[in-house]
Amino acid sequence: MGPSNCSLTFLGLDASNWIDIIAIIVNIGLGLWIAISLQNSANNKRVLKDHFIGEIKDIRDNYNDFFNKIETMRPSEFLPWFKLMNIKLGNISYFIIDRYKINPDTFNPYLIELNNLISNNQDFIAQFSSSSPIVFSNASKIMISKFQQKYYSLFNSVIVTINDH
Amino acid sequence: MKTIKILTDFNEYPGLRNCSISENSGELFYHKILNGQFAEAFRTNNKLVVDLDGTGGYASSFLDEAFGNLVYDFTLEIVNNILEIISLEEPHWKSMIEEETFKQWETRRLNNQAPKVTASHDSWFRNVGGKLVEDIWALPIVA
Repeated sequence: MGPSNCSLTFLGLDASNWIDIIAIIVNIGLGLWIAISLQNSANNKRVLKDHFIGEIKDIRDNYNDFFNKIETMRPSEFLPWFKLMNIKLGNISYFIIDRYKINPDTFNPYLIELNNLISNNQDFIAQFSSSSPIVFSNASKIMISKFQQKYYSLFNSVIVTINDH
Repeated sequence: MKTIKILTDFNEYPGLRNCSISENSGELFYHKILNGQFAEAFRTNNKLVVDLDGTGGYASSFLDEAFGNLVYDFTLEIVNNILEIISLEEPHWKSMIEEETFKQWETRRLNNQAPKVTASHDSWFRNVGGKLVEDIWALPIVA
């Protein structure tokens, strides 16, 4: 008595062939889904990084403009401007600190020292009630320039941290 | 629990450190508002909240003078127990006050480096050995 043949056939292929074909199709589908998902995720992460990097660049440019045009501002305009920038930086920090592992105090010394630098400056104090644009002495300008030098790389270092994450 | 909101209880545009250099100074805020409210919270064993939000912005010297005077008159320990600062818009001010101003002024208090008074103020409260004492503790410096 010969061996029994229990296998079913369809379109000339037996069950084990069909199982192999289905497994291949499922694997291809799974592979495509993973590849597309990962690509979308990578794209989303890149778009988000570019957005935050753009925001940091804008804030850096705002501060650069401030230093370039500092003697066109009236003394009464300084503190509200600082506050606006503090809120901008606070808002962006809220989103990037956890996501990109950035030290929560990264910007604090900059914000506080800049405020100290201006609001404790003798020229600023002397002209605080004036409605004319502020005039800084050469000594004050040097101090402001030193502040800029001290924090020259601050914003770039944050941009690099975001980009490399 | 009492809340002082600087925007509504003092001024939308706080000034600089002392009365001699600007209107709405930290010195004025301390003597006009903060000292009395804090003394009341101390006397009634309550908390006092100071809300910094909503103003047109602060000079660091305003905050340093106002909250530094508080530590000088009441001690750091009592201030830490009673005072709560809210600064949602600019959280770095809360950090600065609690981590720098408080410590520096506690050192000043221990070294008897009295705050500079630049205008005449009504009598104000000070903690003396656990008791509230009201007095004119210093007169304005005459230039």
